[in-house]
Amino acid sequence: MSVVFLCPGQGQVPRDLGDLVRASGDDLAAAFEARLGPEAFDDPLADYARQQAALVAIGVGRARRALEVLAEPEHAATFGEVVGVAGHSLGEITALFVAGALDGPGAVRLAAERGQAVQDARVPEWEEAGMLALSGPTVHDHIEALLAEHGVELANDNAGDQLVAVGRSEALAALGSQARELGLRAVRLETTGPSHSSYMLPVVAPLADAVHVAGLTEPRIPFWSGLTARRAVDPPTEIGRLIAERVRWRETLLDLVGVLHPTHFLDIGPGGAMARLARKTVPEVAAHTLDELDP
Amino acid sequence: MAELTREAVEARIERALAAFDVDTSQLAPDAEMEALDIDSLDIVELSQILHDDFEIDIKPQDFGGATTYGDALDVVFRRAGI
Repeated sequence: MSVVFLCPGQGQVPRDLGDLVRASGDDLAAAFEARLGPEAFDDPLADYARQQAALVAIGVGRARRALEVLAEPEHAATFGEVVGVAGHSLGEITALFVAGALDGPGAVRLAAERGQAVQDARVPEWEEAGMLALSGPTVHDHIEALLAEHGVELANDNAGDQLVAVGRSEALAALGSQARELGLRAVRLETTGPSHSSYMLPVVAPLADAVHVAGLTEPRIPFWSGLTARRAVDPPTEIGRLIAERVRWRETLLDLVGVLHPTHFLDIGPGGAMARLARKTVPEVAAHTLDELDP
Repeated sequence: MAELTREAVEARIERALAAFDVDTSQLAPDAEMEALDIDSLDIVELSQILHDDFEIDIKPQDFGGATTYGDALDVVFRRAGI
């Protein structure tokens, strides 16, 4: 028996974000306040640094709870040892905590630096960009032609039937119409910026620097990279580059299973999107959510 | 804008879910969202439809605590003030 932890990225940002950060853990809330100021609790969506730090604080708090729950005898026998961890996009910072490469407050500070690097790189052109989720059983068959025709990029390969494109809003609207004609679903996502695309190239170096400065220690639990879909060999460089490249989540799950052969996945949440994606890609591994184990 | 009543909103939600390939014969207040196979993209699109058709100010994150279909309907009705 063994389990791999899955850490979500930005997903759907809860409305009560500030309260959730306060409840995430005293040390995490203190790190959040020390870096961003007490006013950040009241308006955590005001900028990227606050938002990303808040989400990682919540993620780390949930990861700690997940580790406690799995240590309980009824679950310890079922799940066994934590043998690996991966995070989707921003979730990689939470995953570094799970891996033991960064402590909780360090993860919150690094998320704030990531958000700040994105904030500093922001240009008016981003206002005209967005992200579009494409889904359907044939989405992978059509994607290359759609991307080429509309001049947009692939931001996330989430599953065999789910991808996310990023680009100019006008181009995404045209792509969405064409995708629907092909029998695909196309849903515009509310996002904080055109992540995982060439729009983010100016963020790569500052983010890699921030990861270096954070002073990662050698992961105790193997950490998989969404950039390479392999076990990370150079986390600062890989995390830096991922912000401007596609998240290879589907391939990450396949590689994790191929290498580690876990019997279970645990999506630490909030929500259960990572567990759902895992069930689609590797249905032979039982995927659970923390909320299901700890209602 | 479509008439803002519980019946009209629920009917629109059912139509949307049918279009998302959800088995609407299984819709019941105590049916688990997970068992109905309603995923986060469905919720994003549903929120957009409810905003477009009824001008309901609702975001996908409002459904965060909804584990059953009945919970989700309550969220929508509360946001719509109906």
